[in-house]
Amino acid sequence: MSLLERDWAFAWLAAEDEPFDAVAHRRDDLGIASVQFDEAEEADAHPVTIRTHARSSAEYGGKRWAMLSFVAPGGALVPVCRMKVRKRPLGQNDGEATITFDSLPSDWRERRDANLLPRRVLPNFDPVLVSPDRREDPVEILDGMPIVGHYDRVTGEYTTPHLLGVGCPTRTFDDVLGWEEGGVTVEQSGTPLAGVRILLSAEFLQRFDGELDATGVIRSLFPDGVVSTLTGEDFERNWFKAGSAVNGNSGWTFTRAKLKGVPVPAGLPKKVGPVRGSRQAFNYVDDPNLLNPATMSLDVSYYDVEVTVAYSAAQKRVEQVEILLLNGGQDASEGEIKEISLKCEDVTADTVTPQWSPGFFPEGAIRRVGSRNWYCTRAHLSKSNFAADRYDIVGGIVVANWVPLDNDASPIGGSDRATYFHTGRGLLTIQCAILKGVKLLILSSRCVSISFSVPFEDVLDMSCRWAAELILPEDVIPGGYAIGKVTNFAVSDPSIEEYAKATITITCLPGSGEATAPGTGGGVSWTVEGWDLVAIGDYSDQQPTQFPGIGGQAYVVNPVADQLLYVQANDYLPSAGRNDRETTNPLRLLNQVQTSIQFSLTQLSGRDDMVHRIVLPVSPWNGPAQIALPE
Amino acid sequence: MATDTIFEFVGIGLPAAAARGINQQIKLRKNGKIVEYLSGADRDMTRPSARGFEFSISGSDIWAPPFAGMWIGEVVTVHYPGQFVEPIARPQTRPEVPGTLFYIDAESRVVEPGDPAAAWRVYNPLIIARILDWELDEDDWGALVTWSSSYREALGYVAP
Repeated sequence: MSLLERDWAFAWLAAEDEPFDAVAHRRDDLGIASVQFDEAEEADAHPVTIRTHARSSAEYGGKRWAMLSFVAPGGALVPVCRMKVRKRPLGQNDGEATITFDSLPSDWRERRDANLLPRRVLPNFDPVLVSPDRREDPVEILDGMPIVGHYDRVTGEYTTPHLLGVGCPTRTFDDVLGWEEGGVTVEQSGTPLAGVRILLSAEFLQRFDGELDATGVIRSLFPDGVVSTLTGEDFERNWFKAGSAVNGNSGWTFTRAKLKGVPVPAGLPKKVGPVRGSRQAFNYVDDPNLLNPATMSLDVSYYDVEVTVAYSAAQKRVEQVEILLLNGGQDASEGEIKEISLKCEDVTADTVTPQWSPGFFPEGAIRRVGSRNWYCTRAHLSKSNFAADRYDIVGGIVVANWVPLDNDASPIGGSDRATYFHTGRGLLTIQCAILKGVKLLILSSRCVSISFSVPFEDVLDMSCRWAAELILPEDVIPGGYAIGKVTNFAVSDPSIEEYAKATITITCLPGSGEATAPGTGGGVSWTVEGWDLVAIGDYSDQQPTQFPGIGGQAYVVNPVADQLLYVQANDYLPSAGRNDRETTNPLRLLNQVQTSIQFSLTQLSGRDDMVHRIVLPVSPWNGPAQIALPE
Repeated sequence: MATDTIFEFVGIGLPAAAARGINQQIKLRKNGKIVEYLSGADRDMTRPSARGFEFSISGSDIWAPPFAGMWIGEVVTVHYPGQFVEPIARPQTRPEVPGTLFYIDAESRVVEPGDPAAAWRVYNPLIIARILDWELDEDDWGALVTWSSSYREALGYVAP
């Protein structure tokens, strides 16, 4: 039987990728009695149901892929679906068989991923807002994008049409099939959201580490810049130890603590005094009655010191951005305000810079060690660990192989940063969050569905990848005009007494259509349309509290002068009632006023979280006026 | 076997004295729709491949046509007893039963083939059809068999 206009052709294919052939495929291998297929926006596979006459299952042996085509007016054969028969029993009933196919390429995942993975670009997709193990998940990728995946029925091509049909091929209909053929139905489902409250937060550790050389400060505490004490033995015994903590759990550590006795510097006293002691204690003195105090002087010890302290702190910061994104569409004020909470992954993680590991490093190499990046100052073959590799001795001089960098490739840009959302990268995260909110507004606001029917032969190339524009009388659709993306495309040809009819459903968004201008903080939109822009206001004045300055003071307790005064005020003087030979012993008194150096440093550890909240002003999202709702 | 009617199943034949009082009705078989648009415009949505006929033939005579053994769906080639009349300017709709084709002029006078005055083509069509139904009603006392049968043209049928 030759196929004529409006007939269906069905050809089993030798392989899935067998190219469409308008001559070879112009046949009806099944004997089609009826055809039904549906494209729905939310589904990947498009089911195709064909009714034919009953036959034994053996006739289908090895046949999987088929091409369904339609003879268009004029006689051209147009491919409609490349499809695979479902692996399930055929429906057989009284001489009829119903076979269901799916129009979906077998490599649909690869096609989808090839399209979606390269689209993971800021601000449409922000990896900071997705856990690392889900960054290739299509659901996550599409979460902030107002698009939806679609497979072409014939080629299997994966495309991502805009949910509102922006940029989609569009067909205009100024007349559609009448009421006996289903007419036009207009339905509103659901209530658009009045807005989306986005709570965006980032928790991170602000890290500080470094060294301070306290040598000069300590020296400056003493006369003539030379450390001196009358209690040298104790001073040496209590001197700082490299590696020990400063003031307990303060976050500070001594990294160098050198103390070396030196001869009496020129111009400085070898001894100070006088002080008095009981002759019973100091009987080598020349008073046979042991009544008069023995006078003496005290030795002064002098030292050369070098002290370096290191600090290391991790301050937990919680930075929150609250965004109230209102729906600027028609009649959107009665809906609810949906709240979404978005939490950033670790914004201090630098996943780009290679970690340090032993090897050869050229000058300029950058490696990450812990939470910091280091710059290689000279080409060298490394030692076995980074600590050992930091320095080398070249010609007897210590040189640094690595110097720390302030910046890194983490989203926040450096481990010592106090804020993420005030960085350029953080603004992109904010924009991504806004786009996620916009998508929720789109999905809730795309609430007017219009279904109509036309002969399939007029829309052979249409699918859910298309948009449709309707210009019909006002008593048929509100305002007489509507445009929207095709969300359902169903074709049925139930019998020879009927015809191939396409029933198309578009969903329209009743936005205001008004354009928004960028704010002082810029704006974000998916399309270039003015109604799509969300203006971002200025929030530069909402800065976080800065971490207290790192540093402190050093001071000396009981310098030589104080020691001497104390001894002189409490030494042996019977005329003043100070006649206990033990308690007035100058050497014993000195024990009570030992010289020491104390530090008062910024407390770095054990601090409370620093929470900062930004209230970000943004404009409403207006959306396109795809249909005018009745007043 | 010669009969007194055009009606016959090709390859099967028809008994004599089976076609008296023969009566036939023919109509277009169902095909698509004429659809109407919102604007009121209509559109032909029929299929060229489904253009065909449904017909029924009935009669009363001493004998019945050879219906026994003919089942629903069986394809038969029928010498349709009614005549098709077509303008000669249009292609012939169906092949004619051999010997039934003739021409008439505008005044319905029979003319020779090739005569420039020929305006109409008249013939009994030969139709390949599937049996939809048949029925016999026999009046034993009156020695009369009343019969009826219905058919639908078997479009695209290719003989095995």
